[in-house]
Amino acid sequence: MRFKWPAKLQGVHPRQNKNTANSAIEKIRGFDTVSIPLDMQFGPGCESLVKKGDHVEIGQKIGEPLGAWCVPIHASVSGTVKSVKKEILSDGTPVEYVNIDSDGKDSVSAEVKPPQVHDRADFLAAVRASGLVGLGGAAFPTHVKMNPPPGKTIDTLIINAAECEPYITSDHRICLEYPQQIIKGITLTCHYLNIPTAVIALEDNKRDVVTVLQREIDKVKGTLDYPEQGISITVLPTQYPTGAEKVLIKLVNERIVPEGGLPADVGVLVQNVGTIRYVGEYFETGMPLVSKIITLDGSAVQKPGNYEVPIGAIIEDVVEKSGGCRTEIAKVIMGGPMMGVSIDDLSRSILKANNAILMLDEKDATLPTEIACIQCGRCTFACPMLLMPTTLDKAARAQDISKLNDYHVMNCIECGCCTYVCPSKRYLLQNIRIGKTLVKQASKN
Amino acid sequence: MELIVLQSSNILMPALIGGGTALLLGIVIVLVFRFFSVEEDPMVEELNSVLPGVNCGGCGYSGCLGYASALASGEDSNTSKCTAGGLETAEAVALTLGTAPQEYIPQVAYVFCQGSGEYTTKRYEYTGTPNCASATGLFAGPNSCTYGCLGFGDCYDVCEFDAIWIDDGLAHVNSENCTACGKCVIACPKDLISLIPKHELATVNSCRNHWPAAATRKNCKIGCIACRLCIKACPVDAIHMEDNLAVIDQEICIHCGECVKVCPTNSISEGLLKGMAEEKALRAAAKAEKEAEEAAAKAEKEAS
Repeated sequence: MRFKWPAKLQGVHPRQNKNTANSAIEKIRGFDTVSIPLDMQFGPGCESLVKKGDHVEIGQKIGEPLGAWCVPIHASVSGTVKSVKKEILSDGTPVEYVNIDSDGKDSVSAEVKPPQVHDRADFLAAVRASGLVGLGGAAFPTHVKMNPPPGKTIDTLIINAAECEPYITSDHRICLEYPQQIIKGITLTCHYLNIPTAVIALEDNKRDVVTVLQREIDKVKGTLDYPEQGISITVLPTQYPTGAEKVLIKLVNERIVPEGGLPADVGVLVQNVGTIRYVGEYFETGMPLVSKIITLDGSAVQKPGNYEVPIGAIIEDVVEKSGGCRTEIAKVIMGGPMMGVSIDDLSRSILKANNAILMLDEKDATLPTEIACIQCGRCTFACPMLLMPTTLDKAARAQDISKLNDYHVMNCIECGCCTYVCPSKRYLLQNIRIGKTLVKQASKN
Repeated sequence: MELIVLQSSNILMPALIGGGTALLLGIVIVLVFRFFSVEEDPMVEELNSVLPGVNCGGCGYSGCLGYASALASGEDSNTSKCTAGGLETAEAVALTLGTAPQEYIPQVAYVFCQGSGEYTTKRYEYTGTPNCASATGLFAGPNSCTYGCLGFGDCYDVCEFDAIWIDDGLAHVNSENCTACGKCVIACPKDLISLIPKHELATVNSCRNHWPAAATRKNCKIGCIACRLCIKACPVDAIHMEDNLAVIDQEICIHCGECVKVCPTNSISEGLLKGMAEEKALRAAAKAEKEAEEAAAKAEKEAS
């Protein structure tokens, strides 16, 4: 274990609210119905393989990928397909949802068996067949990430267990309860992808994880799969956003990802701890990605905790089965309070990349009103990517694309630190996001 | 006397130096102007003075000067590209150039949505940045119809001709002020605004939603439910279906009004809007008429 304390820290310190750090992961089963969207990842979605009236079992493939970037989607309960119909996703694009009525038996499909892997190509194919996408929130297909463009070699695998978002503790609980699967996932990945070093990076507030993981690392030391230069644990300061990919690489390896580049450009592969745990689990059991460990918290929740729920479960049912609501819900956020997306309807489904559901009451959900900028510069000091949010904000409001480019708007990781620290409560990130869309549109035309 | 002479000679030298320098520089300027001058087509200046000078970009060039130089150099031969100037400018441009005036088809921006607060509901309360582009990023905006107008006024912000007004969560185009510059067409994140030929009786299916009929009924009381009655009623086959939406081909349409009569949801509308006050008065009159009719029907029913 080593500590990395950089001399100058960029970022913010939101109140952590990790209320659920001590609640063990609880499995919730017995959902009457699930609704699985056929697009839960970065990139194109899937095509339905089932139709109304079909019988499906857990782990059965129901979505056929529509491209090399796409991963299949599997049924998360056994039962009958009620309907396949179009609804909108959080970004407003319509997508097909497969609604399954559960028969309550939870019978597992015969397709489910541990994969047989011999080389790198087999391994990548198996990862793709498992339906795995980045479980940290971005839902980037893992098999694409593990396969960098030719000419780029990866020398370090960083396991991201920083979990810098307030409230969320699902990764923390995963580290405590499934250390063996995590280490297995790391050794498998390092073995097949030929990566010599693995680093597990976590924040200072999860020190209890270090001993648990170290014990598992010691167990596999010296085995055939063990990476050449070993698996180490790095403890980082508790600060938002250490868990952001580019910030994490800078903190752990002192390498800087170029603008518009990928971590592979600096020889690094970053995987969320949940993703790597799932790799370990999949090679043990062969069960495709059909359930997700989420944190349910917020001021309106009766019984906050960590729950394992089937993918596609309706949020309303999850809340009801976990113990219901304490007060009237004013706002529901998918993900953490800093980067999560608020949802419009409790009948939305749990997606592959969800790691938390936050239910806020009226008091917590009220947004402050925006007032004039006082030019204090706090946002510039807080920005982990060393950008100038006020300048970008002004340029975005004026739709000045050349200025947005001059000030490197595409380097923004949308962490929201600028908006968080702003004493005038300016909608900085919201406008910068519009600026990014403008730049993307302009480069397309 | 001696004093005065001294003083005048004192001022003489600086005056001579200053005047001499000015004269020298003047000669240099004249020479430079003579030998290095750029031949400029007088036609550009002439055309530029004929064009309206609002630099709206409706012609597809950066501004009026851009269009003028393209015309003068022969790069562009279409004299009716100025949408802001209309027919008069097209004729004036043709006269200046000395060519025959081309056919000018005036166009107008049209909002393909009628889902104001009266006909739609809100799925959630939006508290983010008040513009359509931001709201669209969150579950396609708070409007119950995911294709419908959000009414935050991104189009209103870009309009330079005071031709757009927002009323009850819906954008309207004043056809008299609109010059078809097309800025609102680009600004709308929902792609709800298009340019259509300016005809007094323009018959348009004012809807861009592709949801199946049941979902449309739930989302909006005035949306197109793809019932195909208009296709059957159309005498010239100007209407066709595109993914649950009736589309009227403006080039074929003869403005007979048959589809307007059969449309069960009033999604198809006839005629262009004029101005906010006028529209409000018209709508109030229509409402009063409808109420009077209903009252009369009720009275009749009671009497019988």
